[in-house]
Amino acid sequence: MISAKDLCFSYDKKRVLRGINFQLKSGELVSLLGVNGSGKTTLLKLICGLLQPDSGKLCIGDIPIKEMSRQELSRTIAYMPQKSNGVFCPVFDAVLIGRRPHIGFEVSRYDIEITTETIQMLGLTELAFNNTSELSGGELQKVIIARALVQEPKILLLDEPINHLDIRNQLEIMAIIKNITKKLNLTTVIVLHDLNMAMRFSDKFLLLKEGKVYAFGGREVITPQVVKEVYQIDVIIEKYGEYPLIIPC
Amino acid sequence: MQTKENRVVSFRSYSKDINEQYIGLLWKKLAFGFFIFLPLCLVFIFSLSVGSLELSITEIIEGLLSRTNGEFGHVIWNIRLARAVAASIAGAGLAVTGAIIQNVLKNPLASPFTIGISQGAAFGAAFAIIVLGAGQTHMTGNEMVTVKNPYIITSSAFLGSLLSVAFILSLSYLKRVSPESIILAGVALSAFFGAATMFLQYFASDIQVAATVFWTFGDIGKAGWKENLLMLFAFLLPFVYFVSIRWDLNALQWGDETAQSLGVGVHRLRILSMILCSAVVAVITSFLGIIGFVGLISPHIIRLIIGGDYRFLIPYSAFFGALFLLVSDIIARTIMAPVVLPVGIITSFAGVPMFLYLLIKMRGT
Repeated sequence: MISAKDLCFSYDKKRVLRGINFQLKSGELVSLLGVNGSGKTTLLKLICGLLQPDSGKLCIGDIPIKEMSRQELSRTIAYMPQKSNGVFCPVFDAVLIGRRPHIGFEVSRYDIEITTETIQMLGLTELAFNNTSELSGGELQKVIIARALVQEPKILLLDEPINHLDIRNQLEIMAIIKNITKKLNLTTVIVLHDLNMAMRFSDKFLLLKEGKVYAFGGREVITPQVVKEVYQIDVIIEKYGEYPLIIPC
Repeated sequence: MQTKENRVVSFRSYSKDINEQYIGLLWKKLAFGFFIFLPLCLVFIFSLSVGSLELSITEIIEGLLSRTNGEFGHVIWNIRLARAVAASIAGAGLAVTGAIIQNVLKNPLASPFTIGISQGAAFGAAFAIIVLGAGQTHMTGNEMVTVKNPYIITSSAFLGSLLSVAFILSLSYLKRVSPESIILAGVALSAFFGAATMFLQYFASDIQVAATVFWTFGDIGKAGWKENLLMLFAFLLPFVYFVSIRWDLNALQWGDETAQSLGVGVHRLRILSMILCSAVVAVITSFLGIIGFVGLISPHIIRLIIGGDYRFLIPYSAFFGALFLLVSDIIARTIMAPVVLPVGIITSFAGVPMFLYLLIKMRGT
């Protein structure tokens, strides 16, 4: 679904991404991993067209992203940035704004219905008309994910969606993301810092190191050696129940 | 025990419930428009009756029907109606530009007055009066100083306000100054334009100084029908544009990146909106002088009542701005009658306590 070939990008003279290559399929939840400053957010911004690469090719299916209009892109890709402005409005309106790429002159009955369905899917029914200022961090993240979903995207890009959440909310949000990726057959790329959370929910792992893809593949690519190379820490990986557990030494 | 069928039914009814609740909410917000439009109409009519010559409703109707002929026609058409229309257009224009600037600069304190657009326009006007000689003044029968050749002054005021906008846009784009700092830059810019205006005045003749000082007073009485038409034209086109981008403005509230990912051309929208706002403010300010607080207060009051949805915020801010300026003008005409105060004094006197009230009221949000 998404393919990148020799993708390079720099901010002014600072090279951030150097020759990135990968191919991601539909229905896959891919964790984008790496230390701070390794180029994860930049890569997401390139995929959703917020930034233009210096060189290389980025395609959705067979179509190069640079040939897609802003409107086409926004109907295909939903992006949830790391930081979002706090806007105080009813939850329904906060989700409905995700329909912006589809709205003509005014919202249609379908726009309202899909917003309602998405609100229900994320368990926000009770809060539909509460003000966003009254929500907890976890609830607000759900609202922002719901906003991304009402875009009806084929690709979902999430930049650190579980930061600052307690463990219960982290698990709940990750389960929702995994569930909708499978249910709607999306290609989901998610930036995570918690390796165990990534191991538990992701299908694939894309590890960046100094702007290059260091490793890409299934769980098998996450080895103590790879973690040591990418994060500069020693870990042991143990099988605990269904999931491998990464423990720093 | 709840069966599968029961669950499906309850899910559907819940879904219908949310849809209907939302549509009900939209109707309520629409109804609020009538609640604010109604007092606007009443105050508009009332403003025609207020003045040195008190007119009853039948006399107003008689005057309106007789056009400029008849006993009351001249007073109604040439003075009071022109004045009421000017207040309505200017109030609406300033309030809408305030709502837009607050959004695109991501700053609740932003308004044409606080980011230096008005002061830029004032400097432009002073430049036209003093340097370009567009401000020959003369004493009318009512001992009023009027400024001739308003079109050169308007153009010059427009360029002055564009200078402010260019400065602010270049700060935010080239130097990546935070939106919070834009207000501080606006304060500095206002001081700069104030100093530049004083510099011009220092070398000007007494009459020119009088003309520039007179010009800066926000006064609705300066406008006639010709000016009203120009103000209406300058306001309507941007207003239609702002209404057409209401969803983009709603998206922009969530931040540039979110808006861009929703398909909004953020840079183009920001620059075009700022240029259009400065055009509206420049035309209004050049004809009526500086009128503070209408652009700052009106959108906040509407936000407090119906929220920040730009589908409603834009038209309702226009209604409220018009209402605010009409009421202020009535007060300006009556509070020290027969002396007519410049309306800018009233809007500032009323605006400061209203603004402080809003600050306290919005503290929680």
